[in-house]
Amino acid sequence: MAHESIEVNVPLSKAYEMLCNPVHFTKFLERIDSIEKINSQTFEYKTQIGSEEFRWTTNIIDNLRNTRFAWITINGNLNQTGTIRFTPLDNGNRTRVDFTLDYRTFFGEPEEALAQFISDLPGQLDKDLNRFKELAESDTFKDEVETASTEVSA
Amino acid sequence: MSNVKTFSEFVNSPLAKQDHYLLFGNPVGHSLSPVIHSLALLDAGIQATYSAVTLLPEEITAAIAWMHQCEYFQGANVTIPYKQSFMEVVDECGEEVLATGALNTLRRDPESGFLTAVNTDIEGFLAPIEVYMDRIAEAPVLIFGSGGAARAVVYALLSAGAEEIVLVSRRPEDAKHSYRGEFDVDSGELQFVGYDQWMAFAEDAFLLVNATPAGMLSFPVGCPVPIGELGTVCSMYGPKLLYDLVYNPYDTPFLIVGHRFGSDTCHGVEMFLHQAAASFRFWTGCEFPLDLCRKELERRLYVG
Repeated sequence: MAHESIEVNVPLSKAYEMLCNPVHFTKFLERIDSIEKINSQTFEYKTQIGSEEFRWTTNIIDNLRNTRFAWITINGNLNQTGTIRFTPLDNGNRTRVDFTLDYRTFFGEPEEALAQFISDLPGQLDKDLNRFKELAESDTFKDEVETASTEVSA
Repeated sequence: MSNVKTFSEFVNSPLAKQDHYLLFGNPVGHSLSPVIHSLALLDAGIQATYSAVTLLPEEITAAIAWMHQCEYFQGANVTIPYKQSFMEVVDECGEEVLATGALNTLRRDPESGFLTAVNTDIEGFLAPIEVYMDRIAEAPVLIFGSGGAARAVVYALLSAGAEEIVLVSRRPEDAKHSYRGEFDVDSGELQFVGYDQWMAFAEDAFLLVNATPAGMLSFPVGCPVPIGELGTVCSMYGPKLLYDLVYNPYDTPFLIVGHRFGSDTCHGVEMFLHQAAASFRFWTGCEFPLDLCRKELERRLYVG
């Protein structure tokens, strides 16, 4: 499990809007290849770890606007859970984002590549959140999402 | 509930001049107690009102006098932050009030004006899980939190036969110290551990109780422990019984994760209903319409 925090110079509501839709996570979660929306609560993740493809389906279990967001895995070959907490700073003009991400196997010990993936998580999440901060503060977060959508449909 | 009055405003309103029950607390704006007790009074054909009033510190003296002297005042529920301090002002207490150091219900004797207090949180907590009590008593119980709500849960469980209770808190030594006096903290019945140790104690536990505000609407934290850890405990060491004292939202992350990984769950709304039912019986001697009130609550609670 990894828990990292970052302060971003965007208003609370904007930070929440960027992070309450998991399809946008691929813009800063470097090690996730794709996230597809199945319905408003359900998302399918896909990524390659070592020589193996991992796919899992998540469900949003907690979503309080501008406050907190959480999901669990309901199906797949990797058990991911995540929690995001939003705290207003400077009267809501800036935001602290607390991001907790956890990967486990459903059965048994992880194989080497997955074990490495899990053990690298804290450092990776720190890097990922800094990437998010860059995108959010340069106001290019949405552009990245729109570009990705165009590429997929082309 | 934006029309909640302060105590002073209530006293100057027409409601003060008819039979009434009150909820004292600060804040009380979001309480659903007026909804269910008003329904219960109507159902029982009792001509009285139930109002939530915000009690400001400077109003406490006046409220105490009111409770003793006002012929229309029938009784009250008491919530944060007055559950302990009101003990000083009542004339008689149930044993569970003395044991837990908190009351949540008081009743005025119409002849003498005497105030008698009870704590229906104990009965409220136990009633929905009565069918599980044999299993609960055979295994350790894990409680997240060590404040007032947890204290009532500890008393309830010990009185129902639980022999080992593990309280998980941020500062276990401080928690242990605060329980000394009301509970025997050295007999082995109670253990105080930190959040870094909870999983080790959860393996053998059957009942897990959330007695923290985590999961409440607008509270920044959704679950008392990381949901990955909770999911692992439930899937590896389950099935368990997860009981959340938070009743709004109806389905908290704590309960959703428990249910997802095969555990039974008990919603906070059940404790809320049963403690209200016990309060209502204490005041009126009448039965409380549980099903009717449950349906009404389910209409109003946040369901995500």
